[in-house]
Amino acid sequence: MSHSGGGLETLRRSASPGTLKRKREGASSPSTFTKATKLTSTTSSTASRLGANATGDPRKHYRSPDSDEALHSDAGDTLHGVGSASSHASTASTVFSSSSQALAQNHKSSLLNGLTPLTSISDSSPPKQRSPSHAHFSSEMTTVNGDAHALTADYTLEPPIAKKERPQMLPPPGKAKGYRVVWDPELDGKLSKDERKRATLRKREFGTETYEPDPPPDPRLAIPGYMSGQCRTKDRPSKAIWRPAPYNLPPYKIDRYSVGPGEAQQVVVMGFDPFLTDATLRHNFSTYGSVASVQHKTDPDTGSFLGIALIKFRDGFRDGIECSAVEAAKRAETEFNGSRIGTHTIRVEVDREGRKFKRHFESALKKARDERVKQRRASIVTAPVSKEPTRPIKDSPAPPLNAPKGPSGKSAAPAVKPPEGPRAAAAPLAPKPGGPSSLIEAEPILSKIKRKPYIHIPHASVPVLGTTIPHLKKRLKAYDWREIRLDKTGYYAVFEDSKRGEDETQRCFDECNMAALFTYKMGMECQKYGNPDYERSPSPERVMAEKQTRETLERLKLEDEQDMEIEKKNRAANLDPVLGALEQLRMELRDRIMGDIKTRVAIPIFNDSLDPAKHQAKRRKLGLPDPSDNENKGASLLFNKAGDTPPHTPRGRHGYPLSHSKPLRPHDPRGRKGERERERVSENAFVDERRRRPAPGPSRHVRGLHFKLQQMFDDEEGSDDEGRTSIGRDTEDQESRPLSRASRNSTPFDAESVTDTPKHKRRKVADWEDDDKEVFDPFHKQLLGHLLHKEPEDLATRELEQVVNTLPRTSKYATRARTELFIRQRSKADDDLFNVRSESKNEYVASFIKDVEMADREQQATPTTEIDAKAVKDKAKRKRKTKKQILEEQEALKAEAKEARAASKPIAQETVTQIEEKALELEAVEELAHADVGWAFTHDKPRRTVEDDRRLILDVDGWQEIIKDNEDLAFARRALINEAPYDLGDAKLWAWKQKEIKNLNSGNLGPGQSETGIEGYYVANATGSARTEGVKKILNEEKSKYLPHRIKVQRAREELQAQVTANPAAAVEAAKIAAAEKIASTATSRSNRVNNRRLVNDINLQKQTMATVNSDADIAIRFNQLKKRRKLVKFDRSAIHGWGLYAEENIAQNEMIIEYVGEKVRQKVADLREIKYEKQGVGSSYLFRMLDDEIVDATKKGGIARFINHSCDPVCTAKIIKVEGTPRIVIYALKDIGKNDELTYDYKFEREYGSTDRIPCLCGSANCKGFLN
Amino acid sequence: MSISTPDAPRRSPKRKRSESEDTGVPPQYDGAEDSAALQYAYDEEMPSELQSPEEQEQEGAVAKKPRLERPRELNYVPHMTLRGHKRGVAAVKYSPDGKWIASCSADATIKVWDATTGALAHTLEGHLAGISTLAWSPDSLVLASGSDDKLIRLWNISTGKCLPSPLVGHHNYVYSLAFSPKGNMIVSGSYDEAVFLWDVRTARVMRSLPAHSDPVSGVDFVRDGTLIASCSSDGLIRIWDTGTGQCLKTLVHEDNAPVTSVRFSPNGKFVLACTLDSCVRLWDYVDGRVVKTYQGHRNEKYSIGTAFGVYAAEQNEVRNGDEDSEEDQWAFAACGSDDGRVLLWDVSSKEVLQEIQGHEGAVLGVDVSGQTQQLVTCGLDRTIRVWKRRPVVSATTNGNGVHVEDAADVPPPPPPPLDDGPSATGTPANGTPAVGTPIASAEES
Repeated sequence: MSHSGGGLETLRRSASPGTLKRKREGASSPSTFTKATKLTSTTSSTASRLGANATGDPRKHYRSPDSDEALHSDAGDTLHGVGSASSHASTASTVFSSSSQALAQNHKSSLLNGLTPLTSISDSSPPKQRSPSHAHFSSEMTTVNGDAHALTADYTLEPPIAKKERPQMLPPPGKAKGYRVVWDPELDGKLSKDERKRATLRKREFGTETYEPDPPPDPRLAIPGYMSGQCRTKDRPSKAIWRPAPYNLPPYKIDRYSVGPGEAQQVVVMGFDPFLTDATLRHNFSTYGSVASVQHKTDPDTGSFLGIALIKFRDGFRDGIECSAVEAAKRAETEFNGSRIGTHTIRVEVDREGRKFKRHFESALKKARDERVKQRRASIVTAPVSKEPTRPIKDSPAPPLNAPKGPSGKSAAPAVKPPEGPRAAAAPLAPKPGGPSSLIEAEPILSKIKRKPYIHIPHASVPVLGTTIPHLKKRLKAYDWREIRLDKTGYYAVFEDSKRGEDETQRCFDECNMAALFTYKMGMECQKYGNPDYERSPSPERVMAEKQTRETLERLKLEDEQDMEIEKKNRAANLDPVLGALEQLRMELRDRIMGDIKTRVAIPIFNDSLDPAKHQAKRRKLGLPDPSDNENKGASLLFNKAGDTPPHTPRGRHGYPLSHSKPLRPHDPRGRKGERERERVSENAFVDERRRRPAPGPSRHVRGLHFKLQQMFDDEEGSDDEGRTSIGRDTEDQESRPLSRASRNSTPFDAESVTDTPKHKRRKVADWEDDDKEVFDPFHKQLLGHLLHKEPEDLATRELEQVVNTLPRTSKYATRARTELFIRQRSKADDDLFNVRSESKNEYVASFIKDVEMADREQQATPTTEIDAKAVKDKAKRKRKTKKQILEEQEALKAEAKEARAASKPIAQETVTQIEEKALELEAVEELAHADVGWAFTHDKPRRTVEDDRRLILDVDGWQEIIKDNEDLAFARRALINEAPYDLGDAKLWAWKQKEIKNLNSGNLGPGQSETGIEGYYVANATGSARTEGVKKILNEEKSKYLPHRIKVQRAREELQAQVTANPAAAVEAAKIAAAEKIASTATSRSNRVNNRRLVNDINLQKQTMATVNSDADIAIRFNQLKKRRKLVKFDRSAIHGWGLYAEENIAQNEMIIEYVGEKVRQKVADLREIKYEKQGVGSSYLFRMLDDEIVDATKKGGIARFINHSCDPVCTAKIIKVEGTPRIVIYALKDIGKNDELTYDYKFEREYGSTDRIPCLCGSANCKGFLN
Repeated sequence: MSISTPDAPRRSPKRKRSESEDTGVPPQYDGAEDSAALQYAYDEEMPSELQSPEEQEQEGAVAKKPRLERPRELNYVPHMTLRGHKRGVAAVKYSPDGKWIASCSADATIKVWDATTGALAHTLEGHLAGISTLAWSPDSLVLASGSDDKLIRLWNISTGKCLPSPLVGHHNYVYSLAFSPKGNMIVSGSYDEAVFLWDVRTARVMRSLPAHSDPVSGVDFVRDGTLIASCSSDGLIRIWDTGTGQCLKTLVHEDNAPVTSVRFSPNGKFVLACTLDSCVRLWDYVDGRVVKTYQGHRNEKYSIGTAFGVYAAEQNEVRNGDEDSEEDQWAFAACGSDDGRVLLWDVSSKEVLQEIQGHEGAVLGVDVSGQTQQLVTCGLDRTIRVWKRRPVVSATTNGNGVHVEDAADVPPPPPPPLDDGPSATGTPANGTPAVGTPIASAEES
């Protein structure tokens, strides 16, 4: 029994002597114990099951040997029992409380050693049986401690109660759990016997305090360098895990790729004097960057300032240096936090989203409100006392004692001092205790009133006295004034700033003007619309904006002046006054002459030529109606056409969707874009085109599914209805198809222009058309009823004629029909003109065939075989005529193709044709019936039937496109007779694969006009692929052809070059920029000096403080000195060479940028190292000669200054300066350097003309010397 | 990802050592487990008792315990030769499920072969230029290929069709590829010096890691996909954090020789890198030091792939599920050579286990099947060769009479596969002469 073993072990262990602490715990354990069991019995069913199994009869376990012993000892030897029982309990309790898993095991073991089961299985078996033993146990526990604990005693006495409700052994929290004997007189050897008797135990309660243990410290943190991931020493590699993340990873930098709110651009300022003006704040913070706004929060209830402001920065220029808002905010926080404005120490915190601001604001607001509430309470307490005595005064007819006396009363009654005390203090609306005189405001009120309506009582009518205010208030209490104020000029009763206020003002004025106030007459002055002189003070934003505009204006002006100066200078430099005058003259002359030509020559001629009378003949010839007829109709005509032509014209059965060049394509007015998409979707070779297409109504996309369902069923009936709409029309009607491509193309209304109208526009027009359905005469209806519900475009020519003749000219339908008819006539005429000018007989045949073909194609009816046969015959006839030509053409093409392909794919070329031959033999017949080849006769000279597109790429599709029939095939074969065929296996498969590949790479099927190839820079590897080619050194020039960052730089450079060459004005522009920069730099140099001075002060200060601390301070400062002044730079890939260093801020001229740090070695060492590095293939040189025998090597150890590249037109220079006696290399800016510009300096290598290993320079500057050395 | 047993080279060093004490065989240290031993294993001042396998060899021959004795050599014999590519074969890979062999070639095709019969299953065409690299998705359903036409295409293996959207973005030849273990990402290295991390589902670049200054010749994912290793001809190996795109480590050897391939060890603790100074190095990328250097081949020009494999004392052993199979397995590293050989090294002892001869011209790719003890190689000679492990026979051990007594135990060589077997199944649909030609093991010697 493995359980018992474990159980024993615990027993033994716990019973071992010296576990005093545990013993003590034992006192409290029973309670926790039961609780634990209660808990676990519910959670772990296994435990209880085990208990149930093992304790079929619990008494049986008492017989087990060791439990027996334990029991005995319990009964007999108390002292022994102390150890065992209590320790049992303690172990059990500790285990239980620790984990339920361990509990199960303990459960088992405890069951078996027969002591603990008494309690632990109390749930799994009826409690009745348990309770005595339970009691027994607990009583024992109490005896052990020698404390007759009241609780346990109760418990023993009343088992039934305990049975009913679960014994709560743990005293409620806060109550003592027990006592701990601090001092036992019995054990104190120093005491005498009597003393011992007299003395009482000193004990201390425990359990009252709630014990919240601190979480144990993470032991891993004790490992040095654990957080930084450096916990592993080289000499003693431990198994400690190396954690690269997340401890030592720097936080994500916010850059232009990051999403979400960027870095904080605003700061919260707190703790300043609330009465500080915005301007002061702005001024204070504008030292860190340009302040976009200052939001000084006011209490919404009282309008008083709270002393919390949010200052928003914006990107801008500070001292001429670009200073981003983020930086400004950061700097404001770091530098301004804790410093003072006036006497107040302010707090500045960066606030990214304004949350802090809000929080602070709210808390401040709350505080303010609380205070106000408190105050109000205080005032309420005093108010009733004060209010009561004032009442009677109001009612008394005589002026009160403190009423001001008029001039008349002055002599009569001596000025009585207003009584002090409660009344004065109680005046509720005169909170200021300074006396009535303080009510007279120092500043003129008028300026503060702004727009509020007010009534002014000048001091001339009522003398200015603070004490008068309450009286005045009472006097005017019938009116709803807001406040009554007083200054030297007189009284102001200010009213509400609203219409009501204005009315009230008026009323007050009307009723009270010249009314009496005591002895005075209130001469009032009513200002319903506020201070008449008040001028709305501009808002801070506006002030800022104005200021800015003013600034920009000034700047622009300055620039202009500068420009002018430059211009003047330039002109002065190269202006010959005589030439200038001549130039001026020439210009004037030219203008004059041009004007003359326009007015005297061109315009008459033009007008002349526009005379309609002159074009009569031409119009007649073309069949154009008189211009007067045709006016106003063009537009609707256009739109009609756009809307009415079919969305999907049937195609030849074997036609490839894109296999035809433009002119051959049937007219399709549905816009190029939409059409192509639809075609791709609906391209289904197996759809029978004879079947009627469900008409796609114009509003189809908004119709619900049910509509489609409906359409599915009553297709036939519905279509008639739909036929009225522009799109859905019957395709089976004769001649319903739009006119042939040739005719349509030659119409004056170009299809393109129509289709180019945006879709929504067209839609609108279509709607309008629907509304505009014409109402026909009944007479006409009777005549043309069967035609009128069709679109004119769908009608046959003869029907059209009928319509035109019948309907009145004004009818729109007729107009449309007329236009349609005209178009058809035109097209026919065109056909005559170009194709079928021949003998009458042939013409007849041709037109017949054409008709037949048309019908055939359009209706897609069952093939009329005989006609077909005839057509074929005719075609053959026609063919013979052009044979020679086709041969030539074919040959030419072949030759061309061969040339083109010879270089790349000599073998595949033949195979292509081979395939063609095979494939085409099969398809030849079908090809013959190719839908898009129109046949006709020529009578004067042979013409090509099919215009071959020479731009076609002759891949499989291309060849298939070019070789159209057996004849072509034969020619092709003849042309390629000398080429040995290449075994491809299954030619069809091969061809299919080729097409697939092409489709995959170019995304289109069918012949194309562009080679599918690899885009961009591509040089084929000789062996086929990069990996089979082996590793080669790639030259820099080659790299710059494909590396994206280099290409970018290259392109920019080229653009600049082109601009300069193309536009000399750019030079002026450049000069302008240079001038602006100069201004900027002068500004910065001053600030530089300031900064430097500040720095020096800093250093000195630091030195002083540190000198007292230790002597190493000097060195530290020396480092700091250079470090502090360095600019923000970063390294990135460079177009010049490998890596480069880039400025991350604007750097002004002559500013220090960075120190070139590295190992300082002697010349000899450097030479050795150079050789070594060269051998290792370190592509770059990081050696810098400082003095004759001192070279700084930054190859292995060094700062990032080593990444600075050489340029022949450098922006920096390296200077060797002595810092505290030691020479250092420091890079200074030669020019003003903008953000993200690459830093370069001249390496100043010794020139090695004629040397073989000259290093080419790639700096790309205009005056590049070509080589570094 | 070709090795299915991730912790193959692991075995209890404790037990091993006591074992060897008993038998008197000097202890052997395998690299993956005992880093303390490893540290010495490479340095010059290695303690003599840890010294070289050559010395051990004689002693090992005297007293041996067959079950735990590490074979001193392997005997891979030609099993099949797969022909069909028209130009050099750049890479060859077993599918993770072991059913297929995919090979890509400079003739712009990928061929997928049945791994057991050698029958050609698919010829995947669609690239416009030669293909340098390919990678299997972990589910063996999708194959990614990187070509000189700057595209990475994904192929459905069941249909043989290219998935519609290629991964477009590289500016020059795609040179190396790897699928993430979850199959959701692809990392690719290119001649444009960039390492791109692609999201397979959207076919977009998730991240570009621009930190090499020469073509990125090799990339690999660690087994859990959290790290990416990339190497370049500029001599750097960089370890990246997949999640953040941070470079966690840069491994540079002193000589700065161009690194041509990089591969994580199956347990993800090391990185195996080929350099053009004819060395294959095993890096402990955490410490950033070279643990082992394997030499013996010649590699000065080509970018040659490497592979990890495991081998056991007996080739027919049950490998998976058997509890002590791990203990009896050792790891080897395989790499091709410019001169047509393929070398197999024991990972921990660095000794050459076998030099496989057979290819003419450089061997560009090598891969080890996890399931069957097979090896597949490909090279400039346009062939793909599958090698099968045979017990070491005295006749084939070239003068190295270590395992003479093994000869008795060797089962008779299996009958040469029937001729019609592979050819009957392997006739491709389009009749190109791509047929796996199995060669009996006897022919080799």
